[in-house]
Amino acid sequence: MADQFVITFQGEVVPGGGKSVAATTGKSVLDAARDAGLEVIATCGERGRCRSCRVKVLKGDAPPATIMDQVQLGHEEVQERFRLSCQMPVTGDATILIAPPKSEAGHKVLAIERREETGAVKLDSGVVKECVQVTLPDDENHQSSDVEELVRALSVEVEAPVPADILRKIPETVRARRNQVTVSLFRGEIIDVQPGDTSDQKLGMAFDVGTTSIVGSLLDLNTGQELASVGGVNPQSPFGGDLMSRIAYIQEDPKRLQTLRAKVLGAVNDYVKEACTLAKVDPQNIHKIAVVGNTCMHHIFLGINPTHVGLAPYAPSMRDPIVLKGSDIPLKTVPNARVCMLPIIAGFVGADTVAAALATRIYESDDMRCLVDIGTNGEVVMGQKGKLLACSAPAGPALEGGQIRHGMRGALGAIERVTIAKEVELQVIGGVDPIGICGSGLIDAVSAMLDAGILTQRGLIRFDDRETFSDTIRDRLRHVGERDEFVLGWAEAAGGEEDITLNQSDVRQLQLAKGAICSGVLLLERVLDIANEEIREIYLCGGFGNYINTESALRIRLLPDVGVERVTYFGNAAGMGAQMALLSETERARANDLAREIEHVAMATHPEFQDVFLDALEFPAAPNADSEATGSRVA
Amino acid sequence: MTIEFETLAQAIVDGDADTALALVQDGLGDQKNPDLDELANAKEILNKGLIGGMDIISELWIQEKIFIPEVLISAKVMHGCMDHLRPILEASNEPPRGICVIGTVKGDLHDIGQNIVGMMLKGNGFEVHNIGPNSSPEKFADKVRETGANLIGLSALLTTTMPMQRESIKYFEEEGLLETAAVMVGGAPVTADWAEKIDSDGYAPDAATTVGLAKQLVDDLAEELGQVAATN
Repeated sequence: MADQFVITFQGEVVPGGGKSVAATTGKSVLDAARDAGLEVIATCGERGRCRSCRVKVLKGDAPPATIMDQVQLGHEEVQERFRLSCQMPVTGDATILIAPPKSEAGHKVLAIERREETGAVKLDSGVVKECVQVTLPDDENHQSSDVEELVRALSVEVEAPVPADILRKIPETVRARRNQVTVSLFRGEIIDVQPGDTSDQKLGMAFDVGTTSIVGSLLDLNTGQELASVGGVNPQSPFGGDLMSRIAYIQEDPKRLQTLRAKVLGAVNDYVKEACTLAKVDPQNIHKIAVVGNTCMHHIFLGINPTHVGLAPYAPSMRDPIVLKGSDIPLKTVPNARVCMLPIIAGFVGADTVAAALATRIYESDDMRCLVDIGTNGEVVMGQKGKLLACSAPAGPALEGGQIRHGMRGALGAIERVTIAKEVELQVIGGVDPIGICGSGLIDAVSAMLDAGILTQRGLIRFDDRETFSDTIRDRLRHVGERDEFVLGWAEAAGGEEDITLNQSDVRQLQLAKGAICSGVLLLERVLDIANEEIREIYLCGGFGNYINTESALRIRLLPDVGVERVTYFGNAAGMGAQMALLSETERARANDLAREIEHVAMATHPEFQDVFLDALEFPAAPNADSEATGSRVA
Repeated sequence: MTIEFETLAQAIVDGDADTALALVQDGLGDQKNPDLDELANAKEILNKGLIGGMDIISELWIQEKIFIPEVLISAKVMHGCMDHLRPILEASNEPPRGICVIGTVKGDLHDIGQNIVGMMLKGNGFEVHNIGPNSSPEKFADKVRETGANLIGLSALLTTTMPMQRESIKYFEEEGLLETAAVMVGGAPVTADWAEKIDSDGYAPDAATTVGLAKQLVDDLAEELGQVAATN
C-alpha cells in the first residue's frame, strides 16, 4: 500500500501563502499541487521539456534529479533543490515553493481595436427587442391566451414556435409590470421575455478563444458601440502550451475533455460577468454571442473530443457554423442568449482564421494580399477576390515567450525592444527592471544580434569568435552548461537574481517558429505561382502583433522580404471578425461563405515543404553584407 | 599515401560535397596500389573520414551549434560519399551491421528527421528500409518480415502521434516480431522516459546518437539470441 505524506505548498500562487495536501508516494508533485487546487503552469504538457512548473524543495528530501531536471534547470539549480514538479515524485513529507513562472500579473492581452472598417459594419445583428403592451383576455368568452396576445402585440413576425422554457416564463412576466413586456427575438424566434421596457438594453458579446489567451468584448447591438473589453490567459494553459499538448492531454484520458471544457466555459462565464460589471449592465440583456477560435478550442468549447484533429489527416469533427442556446452549451450567465459558433476551414485552420479573413476584407481585394495570423498555431491566408488559399503554420509558443529560457508573455517586466550599438539597450514593459523577454523582444534581440554580427545567418551565437568583439559584447558572450549564450540584461544592473540571457537553444526555438510562419507564406506563394513582389500587402495579425517591430520581423525573416511599407499591422483580426459577426448577420453569413470558399493547403504533405521550410529556418544575409557578420560554418 | 581523414571529416561537417567527394575518390585511387587492401582502405575512409565527420556533427548538434538544415546537408554529403564506397563494401560479401526498417508512425506526416537517421545508418553499414511517413504498424510488420530486419525505428514528430509508437510496439509484440528484432524510438517530442514507458528497447535524442544506439541494440540482440541458441 502506498504511503501517505503531507506536502505543504508555498509561493505567490498559493492563496494565503500556504496550503497542505495529503499525497501518496509516486504521485507527481505537480498532481499533488493540482489536488490542492493550485494552478501550476506546465507549458509542455508535463513532459519535462520546459521550466514552467519548476519548484524548490524548502523542507524535506529532494528526490534525485532526473535527466530532464538536469537538462532544463542546469546543475546549479538542481543543487539549489529546484526540480520540475511534473517529473518529481512524492517521496516524503515536504514543503515546496512553487516558483512562479515569470509573473503573469501584468499580462497585457491586446484588446480588440476597432477599426474604421469594422465601424462601417451594417447593424443587423439579427436580434430584435421590442417592448409591447399585451392586451390580456378580460372575458372568458375571449378565446385566446397570453402567448397569442403577446405575439399579436408584436410588430415583427414570429417565425418559430415559442420555446418551452420561454412559455414557462410568460404568465408571470406579462403580468409583472402592468402587461408591459419586452420580447427579444433572434432571426424570428422568441428567445426571451422580460417585464417592463428593456428594449434600449440590446447587448452582445464577441469572444476570441485562443490557445493562449481569451479576449471578449461587450457591444451594444443598437449602436455598435463597445461597452467593455475583457480578457486574460486561457485557463487551459497549465495543461499544455500548444494545441498538440492539449490534444495529447485529452487523448490520454477522454474524461479530461470535461476538465478542459469546464476551464474554458468557466472563463467565458467569468468574462461575461466582469464585462457586465464594468459596463454596469445586466447579463440578461446579452442576447447574442459570437465565438471564434481554432478548431481545437472550438471542439473543446462544444465538448467534442479533438483527439482526431491531432492525427493525420487532421480532420475536424464538424466545420459548419452552429447556433446554440446559452443553456445548451452550457453558459449559465447567459442561458437565453444565442451563441453563434463561426465555421471552420480545416483541422488547423479554424474559425479564428475565418474571422480574420472577414475583418481584413481580404476577400474583396483586387490585388494579391496576405494575412498572417501569428499565434501559438499560426495561419496564413493568401489571395484576392475570387480565390483564397489558407494554410496552418505551427509556430509553437516561442513568439509568445514560451519554451524560451527567460521567455514570458508581454507582461510587466518583459523586455519588448532591444537595440545593440556600443551598448545593449533594453526597453521593458512598464519601465520596470526586466524579469524576462517576450516575443517582440525576442524578435528584436535576434534582429539586433544579427546586425551586430553576434549571430550568424545560420543562427549560431559566435561565442568562439568572442575575441573579435568589443569588450562590452565579449563580456556578454559566454558558455554555460552545454550551450553558448548572450547576456541581454545583467542581474546586478536590473536588481534581479538572474542574468537575462538568450542561449543557443532559444535561438533555435525562434528559428523553428519564424521558419514555420515564413514557410507558410512562401508555400502559398508557390501554390499561387506568384513572387514576393506581387503581394500588395501583408496584414500582420495576432493578439500581440501590434508590438512587433516590422523591420525586425523582416530582418529575421519572419515574413519574406516584401518591403517594410507593404506590411500592415492589423492587431487582433480574429477578435475583430467575431465582433463583426456579432453586430451583423450579413457578416456572419459572409463568414459561412468564406469558410467554404477558402481552399486549405496541407503544408506537411506538400512536395516542396521540406525545401521551403529548411530554407526559411535560416536568417537573411546582412543588408550591408559584412562577411565577418554573416559568418560561415562553425569550425 | 592516404588522404587526410580529418580534412574529409571537416568537409562532411561543412557540407562541402565537392571536397568530400574528391577526397574519397583520391583515397580510393590509392587502392590501385596492390600493397593496399581495397576493402581495408574503404573501411578506413568510412570509419575515420565519414563517421569521424558525423561524430563531430553529433557533438555540435548536442550543443545546438548546428541546426536541421546543416545536419541534412552533411548527411547528404555523407550519403554521396557512401555511393562510392558501397560497391567495395558490398563486394566483400560482409553482412550488413544490421537490417533496419524505419518510418514515421501512422497519423504523422513528418519525415525530415527519420530521413536523416536513415542516411546516417546507411553510412554506418546498416541495410536501411525507409518506409516513410504515416506508416501503420502492419506496414512496419510486413516490411520487417520481408527483409528479415533485426531493428525497427519508430519516429513520431507530434505529441499526438507518440501514442502510436506504443500501439505499434504492442502490435509487433503480438505478432511475435520482437523475438528477433529490437525497437528504437525517436522524434522531437519523444523523451527517454516515454521510451521506457512504452517498452521500447532504446531512445536516442538525435540522428548521430541513433547510430550508436542501433549498433548497441543489434549487438545486444545477437548476444541474446546466441544465448538462447546455446541453451537450446
